Amino acid sequence: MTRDNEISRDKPQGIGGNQLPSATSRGVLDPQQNTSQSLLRVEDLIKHFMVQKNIFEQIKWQDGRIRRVRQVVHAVNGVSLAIDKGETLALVGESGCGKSTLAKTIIGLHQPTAGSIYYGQDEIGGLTGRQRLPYQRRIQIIFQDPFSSLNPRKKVMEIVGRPMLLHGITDKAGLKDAVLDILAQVGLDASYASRYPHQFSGGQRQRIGIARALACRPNLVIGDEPISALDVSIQAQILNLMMDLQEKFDLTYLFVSHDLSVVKHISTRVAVMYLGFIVEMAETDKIFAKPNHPYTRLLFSAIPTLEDLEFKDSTILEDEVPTPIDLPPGCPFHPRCPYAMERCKTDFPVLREIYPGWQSACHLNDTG
Amino acid sequence: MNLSGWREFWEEFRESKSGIFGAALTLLLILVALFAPLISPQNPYDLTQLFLEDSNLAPKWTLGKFMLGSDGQGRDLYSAILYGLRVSLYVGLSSTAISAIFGTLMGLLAGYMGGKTDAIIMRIADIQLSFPAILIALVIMSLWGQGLFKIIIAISVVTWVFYARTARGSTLSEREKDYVDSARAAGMTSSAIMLREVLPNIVAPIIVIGTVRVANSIILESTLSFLGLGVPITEPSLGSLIYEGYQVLFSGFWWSSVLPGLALMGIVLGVNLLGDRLRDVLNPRLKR
Amino acid sequence: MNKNANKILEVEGLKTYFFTRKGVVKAVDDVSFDLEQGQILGLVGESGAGKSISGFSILGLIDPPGRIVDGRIIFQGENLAAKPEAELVKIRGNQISMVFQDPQTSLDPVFTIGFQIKEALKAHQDISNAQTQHKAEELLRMVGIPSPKQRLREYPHQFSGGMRQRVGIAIAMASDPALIIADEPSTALDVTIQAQVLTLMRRLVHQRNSAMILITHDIALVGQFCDRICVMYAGRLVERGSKEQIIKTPAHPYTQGLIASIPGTQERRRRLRQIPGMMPNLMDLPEGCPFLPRCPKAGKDCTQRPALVDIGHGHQAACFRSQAS
Repeated sequence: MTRDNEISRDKPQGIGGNQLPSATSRGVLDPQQNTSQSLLRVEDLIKHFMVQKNIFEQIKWQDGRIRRVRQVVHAVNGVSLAIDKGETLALVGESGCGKSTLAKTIIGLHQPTAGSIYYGQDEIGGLTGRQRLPYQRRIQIIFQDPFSSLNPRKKVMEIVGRPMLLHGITDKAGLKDAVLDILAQVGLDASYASRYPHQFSGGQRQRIGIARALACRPNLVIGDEPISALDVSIQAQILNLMMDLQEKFDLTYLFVSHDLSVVKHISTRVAVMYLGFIVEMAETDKIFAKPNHPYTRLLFSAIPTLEDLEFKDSTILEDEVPTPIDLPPGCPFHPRCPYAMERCKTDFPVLREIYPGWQSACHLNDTG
Repeated sequence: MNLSGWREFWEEFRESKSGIFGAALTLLLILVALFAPLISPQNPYDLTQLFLEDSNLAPKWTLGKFMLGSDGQGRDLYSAILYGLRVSLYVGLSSTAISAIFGTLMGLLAGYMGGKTDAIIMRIADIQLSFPAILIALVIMSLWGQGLFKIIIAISVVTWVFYARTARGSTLSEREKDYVDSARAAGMTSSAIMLREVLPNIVAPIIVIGTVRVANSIILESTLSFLGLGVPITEPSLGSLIYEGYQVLFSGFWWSSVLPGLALMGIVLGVNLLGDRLRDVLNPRLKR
Repeated sequence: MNKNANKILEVEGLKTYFFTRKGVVKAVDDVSFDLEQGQILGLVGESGAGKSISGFSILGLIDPPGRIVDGRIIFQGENLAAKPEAELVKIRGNQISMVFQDPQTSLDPVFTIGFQIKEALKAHQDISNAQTQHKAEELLRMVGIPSPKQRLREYPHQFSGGMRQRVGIAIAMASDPALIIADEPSTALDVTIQAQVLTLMRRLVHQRNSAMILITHDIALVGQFCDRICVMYAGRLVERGSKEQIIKTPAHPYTQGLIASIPGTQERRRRLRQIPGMMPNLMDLPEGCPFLPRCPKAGKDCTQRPALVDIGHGHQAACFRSQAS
C-alpha cells in the first residue's frame, strides 16, 4: 500500500538549504563501535512527505496568479542514533517533532526517503514484503490508542495469534496454548481470548496490544506513546508491566513519549527531537540533572512536577511550535531560543558529542 | 459475531414497530415465494394446464383456483403472482449479491491501494454513474436479448457502483487506524490485510445498502420487464405480469395488473422498512 | 492574597444523575466545595470520576437523560440550581464562563475570530459596534496574540492549537466574568503551550480578582497552578484541601495511591506503586465506599458510605482511616 504523499527513495530533498555531513564523519556514530552491541542503528535517516498529493492539489490561486505549490513536510531530517541491547531509549518532543514518524519508519510502516536503518549488521531500510519478514518479527510496535489499535471484529485469540502463525512461532495445533500463555504473561485471564476488544477497558486493551507485540518474541519493542491515552492509575500498572516484561524477556525498548516524568522513570537514555532533528541525546539522569540544549531546558521547565509546587511564572514562552513544512534556516530552534546568536540564524548546529555519551546540537557548546 | 452481539442487536432492533413489520412482511413474502409450488393451485408455467377460455376471469375471492382471477392467458393470477414473486426475489437477491460482492471488492481495492488503482476504478464508476441506471440496463438488454440470467447480470452491472463508493469511503477511514498499521508491521500482505482485517469492518453499511437495494433491483427488473426487455413471457416476474395486465387494464380487467402491483409494493415496502431499521441499529454500533 | 476575598461559589450536596435505559448513572453524588475570589480550585479525577459533569452542572448544561437531582449551587448569593433556563442563559458567558478542552471544535470554523469575539461581547453587554472592535483587539492583546487587528479577520483554521485556546480564553473573558470554569483546557495542547496557556489564565484570574475552577486529570498540573484541590472518584468527592495538603500529605487512600503511582515521585526504574483494578461502573456502585475493592486499607466498616471527615486546617477526606500519610 502506498500512501499518496510518500516521497520515494530516489528523490531526496534538501533541508532548508542545509547540507549535512554524514553521521560517521561527525563522530556521532563510531564506525568502529561494537556493532554487536547495537541492536538497531539509524544513519542519517530522512523522511519527507508531500503535502499536495497530486498535480490537482498543487495548482493554487495565490497572489493573483495560478501557481504550482509543492510543499514538503520535513518530518525526519537526518537522524542518527544507535540503540543498544537491553536499554530503553526514549524519544521525546512535542507534536510535529517527528518522533512518531521516526518510530514508524524504523518499523517499516514508512519507506525512508534517504539514509539507512541497520538491524545488527543488516540494512533493512529499503526492504519490503518477503525480505522484511524476518526483521518484522524482531521489531514490534505498541500503539498509543487502545481503541483503534485492535481490530474490533476480531477476537483476542485471533488478534494475538495471527502474528504467531504468520511468523511460524507455532502451528495451528499449538496456537491456543501459545496465546493463552502470552495473555497470562501480560496479566490477562484465559477467558479473555474468546472476547472482542469492545468488551475491555482501555488498560486491558493496551495489555492485549502488548501481548500481540510480544507474541513473536521480538528483540526490540517500539512503544509509540503506549500509555498516554490511559488513566493515571492504569498508566502505573502498564508501566510496571512493561518493566517486568523487559526483564523477563530481555527486551530492548524504544519509547516515544511526550510525558517527561514517565520518560525519566523508565528510560536509560533520552533523545530530544525538535522539527525532525535530534537536538540532544544523553543518559537519563545526566540529561535531567543538567539539560544542555536550550530546547531541552525549555521543555523540561514547562512540565509541572509534583516535587516542586512553586509556581513558575514564565515569560519567555510567547511563541508557538512551528510546523515542519517551512523549516527556518540555520538552527531550527533559533526563532524561539532565548540565547540565539547571529550565527544561529545561518549556521546549522550539528549534533556533536560534548561529553562521552552525551550529544547536543547547539552553537553555545562551541565557545571555549 | 458473537452471541451477545446478536442478542443486543435483536433487542435494539425490535424496539421499532416499523422494523418488525418490515422484517415480518419480507420474511412472509420470501417464505411464500419459496413454497410457491406447494401452495399454488396451479403451475402457471405449465402450458398444458392453461385454457384460453379461462382468461380474464374476475376474482372469486374464495380459496382455490382463480381466487384472484386469471390473466389474459388463462393463468390463475394467484399462482402467477406467487411464481412471479419468486422470480422477482430471485432476480433481486442474486443481482444484489453479485453486485455487492463485486462492488465491495472493487471499493476495498480502490480505497486501500490508492494511487492509480483508485483513480482507475473510481473514474470507471463515475463514468457509469453519469448515465441513468435504466438507460444502461436497457442498452444491455436490448443488445443481449431476454433471459433471466442476462437480466441479473445487467442489473448487477448497473448497481455495483453504489457498493464500491461506500466500501471505498469506509476503507479510507479504516486504513488510517492503528490496527491496520499493526497488521502491516506484523508482516501481513496487502491482500491479506484487505480481506481479513479491513473487510469485516466495512460490511455493516454494505449490508444496509444491500437490503434496500434489493427492492431497487426488483423495481428495475420490473421496469425492464414492463418495457418488454426483461424476463421471458413464459416465466413472468411481477413486472411482466403488470405489463401484460396493463394491456387489458382499460378493458376493465383491473386485477391482472393491480394485484401483482400490490404484491410488488408489498415486497418493496417490507425490504425498505427492514433496511431502514437495520441502518439505524447498525450505525451507532459502528461508532463504538 | 486578597484581603477582601469572599465566597464566589458554594456548591452544596450536588447530585447529578443520568437516567438511562440500562439504569441510573450517579455521575455526581453529593459533592460540595467552595471557592473564594482570587482562588483557583482544581477538580481532579480520572475519566469517569464526574469532574466535568460537576463543572457542567454549575452552569446547568446537563442534557436529558441527566439532571440535577439535589443540591444547591450558590453563586453571588443566589442558588443556580433553582433557576430556570432563561435566567441561566443570562449568566452563561457573562458572569460565569467556560473554557473547553478541544480548541479544534469549540470555535465555529465558518466565522472569523473577530466575529465570534464580537458576538460574545454583544451578547452580554450594551456595546456599540465600534467599541466591539476596540474591545476585541484589547482582548487578543490581553491573551498574548500579536497583531490583533490582522488576526481578528482570520478564521480558526489559520490559528494553531495554542492560539485557538487563547482565543477561547479571550471569549470567556470578554464579559469579565467572576468565575471561569476550565474543562481540561490544556489536555489537547503541547506541553510548552500548556504551560503558556495555564500561566496566562492564572495571571488573568489574579489580575481581575475573579476565580477559576480547573478541571483536569493531571495532578501535577493542579499542583502547579491551583490553590485548592478537590479529588473525585466514581462521582464522589473523596478529598479536599489546599494543594500542599493534598499533594504532600494526602489522606485518602485513593489520593495516596494516585500520587504514589505517578512516576517521578519514586526511585527511577523501580516498580511504581500501582492501584490494582479499575474504577467501578457508575451504574452499579455498591452501598459503601466506592474505593473499597481497590483499597489497601479497607476494613469491615467500609461497607458504610464514609462522609467527609475533618483532618485539620481545612483538609478533609471521605475515609474512616483518613490520616495524613
